[in-house]
Amino acid sequence: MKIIIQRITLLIIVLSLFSCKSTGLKIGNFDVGKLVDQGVKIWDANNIDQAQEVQFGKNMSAVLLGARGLYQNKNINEYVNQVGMWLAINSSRPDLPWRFGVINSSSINAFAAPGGYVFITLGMLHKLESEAQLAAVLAHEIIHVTQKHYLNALKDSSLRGAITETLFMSAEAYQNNTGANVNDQQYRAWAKKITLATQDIYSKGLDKTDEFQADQQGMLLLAKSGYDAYALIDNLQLLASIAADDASLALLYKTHPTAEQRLIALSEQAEKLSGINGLSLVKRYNKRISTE
Amino acid sequence: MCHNRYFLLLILLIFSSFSTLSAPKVKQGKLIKTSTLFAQASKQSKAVMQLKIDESVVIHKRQRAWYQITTQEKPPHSGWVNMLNIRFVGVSKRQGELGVAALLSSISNDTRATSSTGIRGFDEKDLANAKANMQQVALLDTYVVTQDSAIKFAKQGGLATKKMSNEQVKK
Repeated sequence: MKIIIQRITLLIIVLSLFSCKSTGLKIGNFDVGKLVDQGVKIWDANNIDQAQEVQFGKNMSAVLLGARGLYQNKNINEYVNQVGMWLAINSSRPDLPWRFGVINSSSINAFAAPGGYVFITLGMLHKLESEAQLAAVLAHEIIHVTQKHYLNALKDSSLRGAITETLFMSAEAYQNNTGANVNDQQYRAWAKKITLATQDIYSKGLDKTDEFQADQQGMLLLAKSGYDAYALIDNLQLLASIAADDASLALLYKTHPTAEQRLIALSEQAEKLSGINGLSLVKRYNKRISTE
Repeated sequence: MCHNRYFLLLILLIFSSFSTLSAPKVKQGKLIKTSTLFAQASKQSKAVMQLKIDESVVIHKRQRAWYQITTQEKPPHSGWVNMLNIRFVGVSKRQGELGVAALLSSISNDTRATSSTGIRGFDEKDLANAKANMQQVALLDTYVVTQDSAIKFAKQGGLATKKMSNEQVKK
């Protein structure tokens, strides 16, 4: 009798371990639904492969660009892509499908999304004075991508609600798995989930530690790529000089430490890189930006 | 006579735009801590004097982590100070649709209605009202450059990958 009770107990334990609810949605052979359902408890960004990471970034970017579209000037966007791609080549993840874009907004900000998506606002672009300063903005964002800061942010309890399988699925994959077409309710539910999750993630912002790491590693990436690494400090000096309650900085300061805090945190890195010369490329910046 | 007036106006316009473009980008700054003013952009150079906290300076240029400055006291002293010991003097904040914000808005191809309460920027409200826009993502794809063209672009600017020491890479 005792053995039977022990076996029943064991069976209950085993069943409970494998009874995580899954919707069965898959990308390739990967059961995203199961991962996500279990992931609420054991989220690990390393369980997400590159294809899923890129899809996540693409979905987030779609929402970001739904809030504010791209500045539709091919020359300027290509210039930002050239600077960004050169930095990406020198980063720890050169093989991601990197994409850089200028968002048509007068606010001063920059954004990254997983998988290689990086954006800078037109307002920020106009505040800068050199290619090295542009590279500094992009380098900071590139580090958020290479270090998977947004994927890791999903570990945070306040973002648990944002983890849904739809984050890692394209509209097409969702349609193939559910039979939903673009007009029906299921498809609209996909879009709504993506939007809500992205709004959560960007509104909350990343951990301060991630921001400080992006500054420090960003300076290193600038130096490695041949740029003047201190351009990143130039940018922070510039931000520090704009009144903190300036409307153009509202979202930046809601999601980032203040420029003053970031400047203080960079003193050690500035000392480490003191022997390295780099290029500012002021003339090329003015020439390329003035093409608008 | 009328032609002369237009000619004078044209000359004035040319000179005013030239002076804007060629004006040296001198900035006003303030010391955030007591600092040594050095003769060169190096800690190993001669110390000129000690600068006090809150002292106002004019920043002429930067070399690596050093600003070349001139003090505003009389007689003025010039030299180099660690850039992290100085902050730019703040600019007044932007308000409404005037000034820089209006300029940026007029440059951009944004056609959204003007808000009467703030500048047209990217704020939390924009994000809250956002809907996924896949057409914009497709447009983004058209701006992508290849790694080969980025390497060529870097070479044209004189950029080259630098090998970093273990000490520099150490986190």
